[in-house]
Amino acid sequence: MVTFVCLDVKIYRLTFESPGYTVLDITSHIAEIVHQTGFYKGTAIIYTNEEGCAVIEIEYAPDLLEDLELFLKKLGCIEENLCDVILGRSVVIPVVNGSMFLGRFKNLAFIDISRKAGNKALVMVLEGIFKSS
Amino acid sequence: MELHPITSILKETLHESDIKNGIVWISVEGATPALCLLRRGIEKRFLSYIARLIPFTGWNHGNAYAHLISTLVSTNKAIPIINGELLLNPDEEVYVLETRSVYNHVRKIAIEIHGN
Repeated sequence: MVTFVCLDVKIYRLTFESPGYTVLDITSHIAEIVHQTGFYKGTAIIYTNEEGCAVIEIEYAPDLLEDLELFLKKLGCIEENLCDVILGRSVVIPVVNGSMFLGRFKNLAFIDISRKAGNKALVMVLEGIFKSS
Repeated sequence: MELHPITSILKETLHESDIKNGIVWISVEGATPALCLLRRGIEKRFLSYIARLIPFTGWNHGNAYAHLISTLVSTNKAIPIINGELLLNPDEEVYVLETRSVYNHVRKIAIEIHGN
């Protein structure tokens, strides 16, 4: 059976301090917004327009993040400041019955390879059905 | 590594929805698989290339190669819908890439169809 519904769009901005060369696990921050807004079904787009920064999906394990750094060094994108182009600046996560469709081990990570410390921002676009709407 | 074609599942789901114009978002659950759009016939070349780019060994984390392939190739894809059909070339297939040898494993895929 097919049901038609109108989709709402809500946009949120998150800011946090970055030392300029780091990886941050942002999964719980994003999950909290999904929960607080009553976002029930749809897509969550997490995007950054910060220079030299990327948003990726990966298991947040220290040895794996070291491997990612090793891989990026092998690709040569760190010294060229092009890793955001390789990794991408956004991810799209389905939200199913109020939960992000990630699986047990997959996390959302913000990567900053800009070498510029300071306040960094993420923009989160939620498109779908909210319990309150 | 193994590629599992899912285009027919996507087409069936789309036709069931009766949506004519919009977008299909596909996402595969888990931290080691990936989704890719490939021309039929280049599958072996693609797998060989990925294995050269991200080798199985030489990492700290046990199955790092599987995670890195998943992150790089991505677990999400978007395909536009025009006139009730997926905007794919006739010789293209959407695949789930299983990077590890898994047996008796159920892999969940989320399909969201947005449009009218």
